Amino acid sequence: MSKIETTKFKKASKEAIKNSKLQNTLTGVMAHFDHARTEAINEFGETNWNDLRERGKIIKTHTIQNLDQYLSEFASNVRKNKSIIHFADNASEVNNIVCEIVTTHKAQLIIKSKSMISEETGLNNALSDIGIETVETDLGEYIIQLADETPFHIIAPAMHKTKEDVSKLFQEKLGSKKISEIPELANFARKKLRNKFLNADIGITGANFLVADTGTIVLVTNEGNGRMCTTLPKVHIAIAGMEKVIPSINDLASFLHLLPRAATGQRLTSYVSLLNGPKASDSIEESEERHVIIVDNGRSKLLADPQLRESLNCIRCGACLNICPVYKAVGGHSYGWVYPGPIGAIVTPVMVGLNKATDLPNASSLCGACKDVCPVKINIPRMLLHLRSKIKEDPPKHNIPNLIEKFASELFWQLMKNQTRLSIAHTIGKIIQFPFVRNNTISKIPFPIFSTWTRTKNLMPIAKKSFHTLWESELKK
Amino acid sequence: MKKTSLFVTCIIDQLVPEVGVAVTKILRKTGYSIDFPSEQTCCGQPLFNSGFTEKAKLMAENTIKIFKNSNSVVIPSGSCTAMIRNFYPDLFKNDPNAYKEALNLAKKTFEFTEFLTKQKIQIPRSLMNNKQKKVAYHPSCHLMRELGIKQDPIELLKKITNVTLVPIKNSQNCCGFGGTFSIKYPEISGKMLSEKIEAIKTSKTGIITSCDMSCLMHIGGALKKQKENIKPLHIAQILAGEE
Repeated sequence: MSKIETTKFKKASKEAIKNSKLQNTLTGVMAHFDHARTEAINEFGETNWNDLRERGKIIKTHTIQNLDQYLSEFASNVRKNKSIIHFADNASEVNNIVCEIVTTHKAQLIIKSKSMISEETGLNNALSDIGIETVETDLGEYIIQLADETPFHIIAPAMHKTKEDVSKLFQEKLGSKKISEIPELANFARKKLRNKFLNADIGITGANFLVADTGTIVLVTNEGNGRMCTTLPKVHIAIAGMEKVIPSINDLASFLHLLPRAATGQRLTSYVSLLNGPKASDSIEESEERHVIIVDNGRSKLLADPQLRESLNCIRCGACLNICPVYKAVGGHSYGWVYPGPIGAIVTPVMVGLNKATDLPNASSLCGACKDVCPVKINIPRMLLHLRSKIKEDPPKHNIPNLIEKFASELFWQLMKNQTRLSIAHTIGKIIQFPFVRNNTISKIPFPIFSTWTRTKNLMPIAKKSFHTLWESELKK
Repeated sequence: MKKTSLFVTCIIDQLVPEVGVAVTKILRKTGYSIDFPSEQTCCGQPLFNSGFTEKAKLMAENTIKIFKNSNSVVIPSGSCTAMIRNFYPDLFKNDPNAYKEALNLAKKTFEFTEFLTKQKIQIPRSLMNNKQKKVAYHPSCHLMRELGIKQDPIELLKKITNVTLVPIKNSQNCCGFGGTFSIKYPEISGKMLSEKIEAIKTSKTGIITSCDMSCLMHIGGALKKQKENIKPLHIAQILAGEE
């Protein structure tokens, strides 16, 4: 498993908010994504779009409900396609399977196209431990690999880096001259990567969809590196979460409409690869050996909980990140593991352990913008609420904020239990607030919790007469 | 005479009873007799949102009991309406009898502007005053996304002759309140709020309105802190001709 830093959410998010350079980048890039998505949907027609979202939701829900059946159908068709299928329960199993293939083929150099699941398992480190060089070939991934960082966003891993950052990185790590324009930077990386492509022994990719009735692996990419990773080396390994399966090739078109529009606002990505078996003897366009690794790594825990199962419908477009005011404020690294943003706030706690990630489901105003943009209509806020409830069933021990919250909730319940208690609380509240009220507003209360509020906002005082009192004295007829 | 029950919400009851008065005034003027069950307190949303599901259920049971015999329930809050309509049935889904009761309340509960619109209630001219005012509308998240109410409040405001609606940039963005979220994560909430405040200031409005007093308390608190002369008013107060 890759490094888990979910407990540092509060600290990391505060630092991110203070980082004005990062804030500028986030504002710019997120607005760009959101604008592109909106334009694409307008062009597609909002009604058509919502119909298609509903279709996507129905297909995914049906698939996840019958996951065992579709996975076994997919596996048997993969075998028919003369590829090799593996099932991995957890991160280390994935890494072991890959290492074994690498050892069998005496491979030295591996090229990779973007794969979030390999980030989950920490695959690059596992390979480097056995002395294998692994090179990321997606430009964004290449950049963060050079910078020794983790992806900042699920589809735009290096979005937090400016062109100046990248130029500096290339100078330091690759000895380039100073490059100031983006196309030149891309060109420089392309040249560096070209040699790796030509010399690699194995190509590793993720998968966007696994088609059960044909055994097809579908890759949706923009840079062409995915296609090179699956065609140039003799061996190709695709690693995919078990939720990536869809029933039929006839369902694929719906998702090829939904994914790029929701993700980048594109009608279609530059490359869509449908991979079946390894190459036929007369073809020069495919690898000679293909492996598919289907990964659980905590997904069965999501599947087992009827309230969280819907999270497996996710097609990893990133639209919920792009619209989320919390993601826009704290950025991807604050979340402390592979999947940030609203969908990350659901899957991460379940995959790494709820007690290690209590901030993630709680750090949300529940505004629901994520639900509105999700191409498969996942009800993210409802699942955040479910996780909040689960956290309270087994709260972190000896945790002061948690004890305060528990006390506050008990107090709130005791006071709101009935009207008599509420009216007593109303009277006591007015006495307590008396020293702080000036001109019908409270600008400062020097006690913890309240002082956090009054630092940036005035507080509304309790009214002289509650509505209950007004009703009894003046309004009742 | 048509009869409806009022659930005034704890925030309005305790902090801004004028909103409840405005709602009463409007409904009475338009021919409704109002029933205000005095045992009502809070819908339980603060507890529910913080994960205290069992306690939230107790509050939900109270509320369900209190309004058991009402024809309809009007609530001047999108957020509390969403709690009752969307989350109460969910809370009791494993208890068929309680679920039925929850669903019964959910079906007859309406957010205030939704109720006015559904009942085709016209705001009487006698409630309008002549003072021209600029009003910016903040669509609260639960109203817009949990209940799907987008146009009702805007159409109502448009009918008020002395009101000029001014747009605010990115009005659909959350103000950052989110109940205890604003206390637990003040930096994140604060960033969301400051963007909202900037957008409101840029709009040059004199009044900021919404269907939810909780957002207005949050937004209004920051405006007051910054000594901005922009007044937060609940939509019922504007419709009742307050200024």
